[in-house]
Amino acid sequence: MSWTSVSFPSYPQYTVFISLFTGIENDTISTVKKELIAANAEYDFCFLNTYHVVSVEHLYGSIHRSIANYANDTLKARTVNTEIIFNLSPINKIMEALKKFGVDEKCPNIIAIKVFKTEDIDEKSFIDTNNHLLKLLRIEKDSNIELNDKTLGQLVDVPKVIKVYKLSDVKISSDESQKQAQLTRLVVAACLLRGL
Amino acid sequence: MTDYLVGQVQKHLPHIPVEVVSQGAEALVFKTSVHPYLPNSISPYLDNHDEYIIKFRPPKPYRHPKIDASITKNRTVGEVKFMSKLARIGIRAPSLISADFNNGIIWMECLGQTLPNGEVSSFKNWLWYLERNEIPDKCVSDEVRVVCIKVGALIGRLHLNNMVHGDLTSSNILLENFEPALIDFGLSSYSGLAEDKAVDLYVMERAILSTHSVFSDKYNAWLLEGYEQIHETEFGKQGKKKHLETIRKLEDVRLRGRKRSMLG
Repeated sequence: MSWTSVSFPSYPQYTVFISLFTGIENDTISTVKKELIAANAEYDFCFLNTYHVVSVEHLYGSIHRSIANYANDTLKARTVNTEIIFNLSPINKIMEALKKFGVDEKCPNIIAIKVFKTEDIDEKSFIDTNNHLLKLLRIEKDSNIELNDKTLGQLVDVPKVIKVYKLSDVKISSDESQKQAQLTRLVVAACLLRGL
Repeated sequence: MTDYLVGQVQKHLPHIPVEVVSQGAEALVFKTSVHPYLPNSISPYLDNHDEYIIKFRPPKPYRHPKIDASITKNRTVGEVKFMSKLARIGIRAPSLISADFNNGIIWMECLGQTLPNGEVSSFKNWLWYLERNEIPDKCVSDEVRVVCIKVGALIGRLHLNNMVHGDLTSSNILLENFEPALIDFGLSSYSGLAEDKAVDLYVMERAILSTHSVFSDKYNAWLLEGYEQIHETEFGKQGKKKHLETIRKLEDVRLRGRKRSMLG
């Protein structure tokens, strides 16, 4: 079992729970999608597919911006969960972003994110949250792997990233170790400039 | 005054320690040891993991608040766009980390090293350091020549992409391991006109003349040498034509000064 919790220096009042799951059945993903649309409180998470998440920095950048908007009451999307998906995207349409970055039957891997008030949580609530997710996604503990640049680098779909972030005219390094670094810099800038 | 402005940036960036690096008419530049969203255990994809730069455009009290907000936002967006374009075409400049357009804040990579005299390794500081601490020969050594040519080539590449820096001075060029990088895009714009490129070069020429007057002739000649080389190596015949056009214009600009019209 493996999850991460992160809190940003400017917004210590919020703590974000992040966990990565692999090898999820197609049927389960369809169910998750259905329940998300039905706004089932059990599924009150931000679910991402891993194809377009380049690195931890990319993901955290989007979460940070969402938390900032949440704290300043300037959310563009209806919930902070959708806001995270929206801020990960270079496209200024929330529905498009949900389709590209949200749960997708084509991708068996999911990143689940939930924003907590720091005062409401402790280590036990993280364990409970993670167990709850394992149950929802109907998978075993060993499919819950650590989220880091190495694992994300294996789960990302680079051609898809290049297409979504419109990077086809950029010379992308062929060196694998440089590629993630370069893509991170490019996608972070593209996310910041979304809609501008 | 600066204390008041520091207070303002602290309001937007609570719990972030900042230290003023420089102050201009339009913006303040701070240094901080804290990354906005990555904990210490995770390193960002940047060379410098210990320091980050925050550029802040404070609100101007003499402007109408609504106009002020829109000007601040537009200029911040413009600068971020320019920097992201540079990253796409591979011209060395600070990488973007985060931005808050409404409050005029940009977080970026901290480039440059520290010279033996404790100053940041900008092109200006490095040349001054050589001038003051080394034997005079060193100021016009091959090492300096190579760096000048590299700087000229960097500006050439910028212009070949129809981008104009707008404020080329030796302090707006940072050296990292003798590789130049551009900073400060507050006045940058896009233009394919030889006129605008020539003005850009002229501003640099004048800046070199006033800040490094002893060897300015040599420096300027080397800079233009690098500028010419890159036009030919990257764009061949077409580049040669473009270069000739810009240099001709530069001669005109030298005669009349930076402003085209006699008004203002």
